Amino acid sequence: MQKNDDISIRYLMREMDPSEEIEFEREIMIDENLLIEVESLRKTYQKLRKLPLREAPPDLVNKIASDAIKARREQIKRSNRWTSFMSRSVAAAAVAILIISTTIYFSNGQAYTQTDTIQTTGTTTETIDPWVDRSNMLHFAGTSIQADNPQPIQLEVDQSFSKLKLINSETGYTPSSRKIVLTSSSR
Amino acid sequence: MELLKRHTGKQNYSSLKDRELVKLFRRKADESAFNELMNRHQSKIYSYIYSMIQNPETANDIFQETFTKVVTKMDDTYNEQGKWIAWVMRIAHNATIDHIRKQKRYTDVSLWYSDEDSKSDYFDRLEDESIVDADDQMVDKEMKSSLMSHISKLPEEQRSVVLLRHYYEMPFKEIAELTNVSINTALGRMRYALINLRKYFEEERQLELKHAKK
Repeated sequence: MQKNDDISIRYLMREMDPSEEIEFEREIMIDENLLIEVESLRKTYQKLRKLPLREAPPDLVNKIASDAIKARREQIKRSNRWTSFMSRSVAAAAVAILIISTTIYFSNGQAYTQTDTIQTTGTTTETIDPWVDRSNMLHFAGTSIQADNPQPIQLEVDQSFSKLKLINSETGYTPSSRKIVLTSSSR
Repeated sequence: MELLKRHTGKQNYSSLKDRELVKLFRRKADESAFNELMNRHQSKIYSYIYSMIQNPETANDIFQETFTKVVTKMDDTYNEQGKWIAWVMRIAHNATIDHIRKQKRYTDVSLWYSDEDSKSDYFDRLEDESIVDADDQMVDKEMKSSLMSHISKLPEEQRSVVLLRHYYEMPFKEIAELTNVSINTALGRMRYALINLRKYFEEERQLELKHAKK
């Protein structure tokens, strides 16, 4: 019964597929009670068509219209202000970023130059310990003899000789030299 | 020449679709576009609110409130792809239902009614002759003689389905979406509304027969 009721309201409200409609109309022809129910509901539904259409009071409609226009214009003005503020802000931010990045770029460039200078100066001033390479060559890298103070380099040279040791075996076939051969030295 | 221009302008607006009119109002605050929209739909929206509320002053207030919301919420909640009128009807429906519920809450706490009364519908209570005064009884009698009085006796959810269907010929899918129920529930409400109305019409007919016999 519930199913039939649902179907009858769907039929009356034209919420059925054409094929469903045909099927239901066939059912109505067979079932007299269903026919009475549908026709009774249809009659009631038709009475609803007499429901009056009411007009809103004209002065109220006019007031609503003028208020709506005013409000909308205000909204548009506000949104335009916001848009222009935003675009100005974006432009300002872009300029600021440009200035900052340019400043950073140039100051970094200067810094690099300064660092280079410092490094260059550094090579002249800093002292690096002398070392002996695999060929037993003595190196003094990173030092230079300065006119005003010639002692450091001379001192290094003097001290470096004192570090050298005499080789006892004439063949030179010492464990350390063997080590050198083993490490595939060029000598 | 100017008259002709205005006339042509008006004709142009009347040939525009709702969507285009809304766009004009939205982008340029076009007065003629809004007026055209109002001309097209105001009577249906107002009739729906009025039929739900049955009080002209409250109906006016809700009608105005609806359009205030339409303008203020247009940028946030209206999607131009959707039907403008369905969106407006949703606002009108929600405002109406809010009002009815507020009224219900108000009457529910009133000491005039017993606990039993508070469970029934707001409009059912209005019918109680012990509550209303003489003037209201007159109005009530006039209302009872019309179809509107039968509609007002329907429970709120049945009444809104009947009125949405009648004034907007809204498909049940849309009614279901608007009232936040399934299509079957909306159809069921329509069926119960018709059954109730059938009963009211029959009662009215019996009463008329009784009076005629006297």
